[in-house]
Amino acid sequence: MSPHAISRVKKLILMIENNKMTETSLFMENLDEFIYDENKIVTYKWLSNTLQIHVNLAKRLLFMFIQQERNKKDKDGLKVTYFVAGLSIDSNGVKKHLCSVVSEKDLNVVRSKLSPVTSCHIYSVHKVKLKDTNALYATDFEKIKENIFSATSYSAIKFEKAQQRRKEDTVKESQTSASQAPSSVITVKKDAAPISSSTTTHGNKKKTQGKVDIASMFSQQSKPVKKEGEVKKDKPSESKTQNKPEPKKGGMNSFFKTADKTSFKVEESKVVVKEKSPVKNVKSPVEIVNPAKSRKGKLSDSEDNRTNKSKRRRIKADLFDSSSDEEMEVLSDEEDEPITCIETEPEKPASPKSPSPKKQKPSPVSNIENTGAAGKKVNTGSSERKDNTESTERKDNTGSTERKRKRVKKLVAKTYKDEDGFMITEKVYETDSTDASDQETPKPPLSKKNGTDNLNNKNKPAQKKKTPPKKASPAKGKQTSMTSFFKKK
Amino acid sequence: MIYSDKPDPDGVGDFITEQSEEADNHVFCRSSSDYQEHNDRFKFKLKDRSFSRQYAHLYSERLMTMRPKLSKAAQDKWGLEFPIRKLHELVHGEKCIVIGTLFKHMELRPSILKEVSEEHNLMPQPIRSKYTEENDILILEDELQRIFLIGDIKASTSVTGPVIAVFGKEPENDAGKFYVEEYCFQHLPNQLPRPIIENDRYIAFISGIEIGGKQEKLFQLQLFIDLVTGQLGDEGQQKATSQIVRVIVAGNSLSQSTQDKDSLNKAKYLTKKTAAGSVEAIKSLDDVLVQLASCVDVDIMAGEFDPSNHTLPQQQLHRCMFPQANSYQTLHNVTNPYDFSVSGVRILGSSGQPIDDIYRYSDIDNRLDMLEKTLEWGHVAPTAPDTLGCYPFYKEDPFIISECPHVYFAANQKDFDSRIHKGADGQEVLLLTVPKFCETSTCVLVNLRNLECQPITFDANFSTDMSADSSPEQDK
Repeated sequence: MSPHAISRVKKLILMIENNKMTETSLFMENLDEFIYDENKIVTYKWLSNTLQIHVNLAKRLLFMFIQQERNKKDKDGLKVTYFVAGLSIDSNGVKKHLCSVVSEKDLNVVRSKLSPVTSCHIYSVHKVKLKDTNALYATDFEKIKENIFSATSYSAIKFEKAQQRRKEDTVKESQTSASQAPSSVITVKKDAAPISSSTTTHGNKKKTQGKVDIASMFSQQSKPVKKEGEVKKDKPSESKTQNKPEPKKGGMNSFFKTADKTSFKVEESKVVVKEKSPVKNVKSPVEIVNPAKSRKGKLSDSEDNRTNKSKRRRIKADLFDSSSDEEMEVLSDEEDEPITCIETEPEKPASPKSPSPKKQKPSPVSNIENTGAAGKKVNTGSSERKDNTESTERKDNTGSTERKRKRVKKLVAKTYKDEDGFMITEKVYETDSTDASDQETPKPPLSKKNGTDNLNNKNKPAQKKKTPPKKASPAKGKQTSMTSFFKKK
Repeated sequence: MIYSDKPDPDGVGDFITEQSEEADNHVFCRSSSDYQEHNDRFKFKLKDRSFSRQYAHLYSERLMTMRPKLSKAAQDKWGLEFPIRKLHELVHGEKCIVIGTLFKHMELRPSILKEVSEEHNLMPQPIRSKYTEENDILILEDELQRIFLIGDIKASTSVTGPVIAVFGKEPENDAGKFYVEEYCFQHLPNQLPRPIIENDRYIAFISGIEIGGKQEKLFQLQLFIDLVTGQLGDEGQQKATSQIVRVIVAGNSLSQSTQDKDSLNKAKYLTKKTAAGSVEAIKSLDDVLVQLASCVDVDIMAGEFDPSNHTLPQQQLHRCMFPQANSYQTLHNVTNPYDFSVSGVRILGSSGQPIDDIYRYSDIDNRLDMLEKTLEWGHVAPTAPDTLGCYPFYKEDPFIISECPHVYFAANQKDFDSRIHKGADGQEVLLLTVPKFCETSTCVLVNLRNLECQPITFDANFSTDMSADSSPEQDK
């Protein structure tokens, strides 16, 4: 029921209880408390929001209160401001409609200048004398901020078309815009070496760079990954996105056999999967075409995809500042699914194949919005960070799929261009796999798995040096260790 | 009809009189209206954009599209006996008509070539408010040649860009110059007749809110929101306000100061944690819009200082910037310039950049006159791409006015002004300049029934007289 209806019902009930004045006197008592005891500045809007009554009733109550105080109790010391509106002729002879908030003593002066007067009612009542409008604005503003969506629910005008979109609609919208493959994947690494061996177990949306071909795997991956491990999903959007990955699915299935088992294990741990992630996975690798990439790449992609999907939500606000937090909070109100945002999540590649921590991310909408809005503005910051993380991202390229992979999760910011040409930056966790045979490389991830990004960055250079195909990595490794000093924590 | 020249309000002061028997919870339903957007020519898919083209295509498109219209107008004006010649076919001494694009040569015009030229060693030209001077020369260009225009055409009131038909001759002794006797522009295109609307329907225009700037008037803005959403006012006024069917936020919702790019010059380690000024401002704007959108259709246009592209046509502000407001279906992000129709009334307008540019490069003083001129020239932004940033269109020039609007507005101007422009074919166009809210606290209501405008000013002044004053006697 709308608040308006609720107040109506309240009134009815009270009348049924045989005393129409009870409610009003209740309100008056409240008013008394607000004004005298709490020394608040009571505007009609504030009163209507607090008592959940129609604004006109609030205006009436204020007037009744003033009358009561002045006539009956002979009390004074209340300051009143009025809202007055009417037609006035200004110096240029232009007739304009003037709407003005004035203090009581100016009321008659202002009223006399207007002909005719179209409105006059009390705007606020308070004990303190106001010097300017800041206090008035502040009280109303705070009240509005408490629940922005009900700021106008007690007003005298309703508009049926002003309905809030259902979540699915917004998700669908953002999906359709996101679903077309981005025209480019922004990647720092120019490494064209096969990514085959790199696997990311946990939900990372896109791999940057080196995983060029892996990205293409992602796109095909998205179907199988999608099917598994989804716990909560918006059905409509889900079906929508599923249609897209559909075609590719069949072809890649054969590749995924071996990987399936491992990825399934990871699957269990996934709590929430967002449709967007597979869609995005589809998008990002668009231009990567490297048929030479081995199956390994594909396999790793499949795993990545699955983990990506579940993890996908994890856009982290820790790199972004509170603004994105705010947005996420706002949207999370509307979320169907419970969201357990783990705020300061250091990377935890607990064990190479351990289940990913249960993280959820706010909806894709907020995701996009977060990154879209913040991404553009903090793009320099994020891309810089992305550079850091990406350059430290590692892909093992050692050839054999038979080797066991240890998976390390790293927080990576992926920036890509979506269909409309807007750059979107998302932070995702990617898993990196390290070869078990590599003595050194497993240790750093294991030992430092609970470390921060900086540490992980240092891992990567170490790991990178072990991966010969990546010629650029050693150099980049050094750079990252330098720039990691400046990284945001 | 409260929002008109002769308001007849009722129920005034109801809330400061003794309670009547009725309950105080009337709820009025907002009127609905048909809405159609005609913006397609201003939108483009970002990924299809290509800035590697030259602007010459835009000019040639403009000339090609407008040539037939101009030849018709020229023949209507001067008869069929005078030939329409292209510049390369000119015969000395023969009176003829030439159609081409006007170009105004100004010495003071900032030119990148001059800045870059090393021979001159010139200091960069200072920014002035007007770049015109007396020695400006007008040149006519058609597809192949150009020629100086002298005679009965004034350079000071012309700008570069409009397509013009001039009537005169090239004198024999002074080749290279065309002596103009008369000139004309295209006919005002046909206008669909306005449908008869029975009830009052208003559209509210507000521009130049400039959140984040020093001049931002947040309290007055909140008064505007409260009025439009039906919280302020007595019942009669609330009822009249429920007839506002649409609110157009016409640009410059953010202030210029939010565009501060100093952080780009500073070292990264100093600016790592600083967010751009526009982030906070956009959030405030979102709060404003969500309140409006919960109650009325809102169209938000980008302006000069808003986070959209700089060149015209400015694309829609991205919906992710307004996460709260976008949860309502009533929020629409639209392009600048904006072309739409409500209940059959066609409205076209911009956030003011074309008019500001004409102000810089011509001597016309009155903004409404400039607006009228652009209507006569048949082009929303004639100085684009010469001095006004513009996308290098290839297939068509979307700024050409090919259907006459009923309301033609330019936002972010200094004052409110309006006039009805009557065309030769009986067209009636309401010309409107919407003032900046941060300076004037004024918005404009346009009544679609009769094309009347009314400015609404929001005001709050408390005297600072601190002397103790007793409250007035009240029915004692």
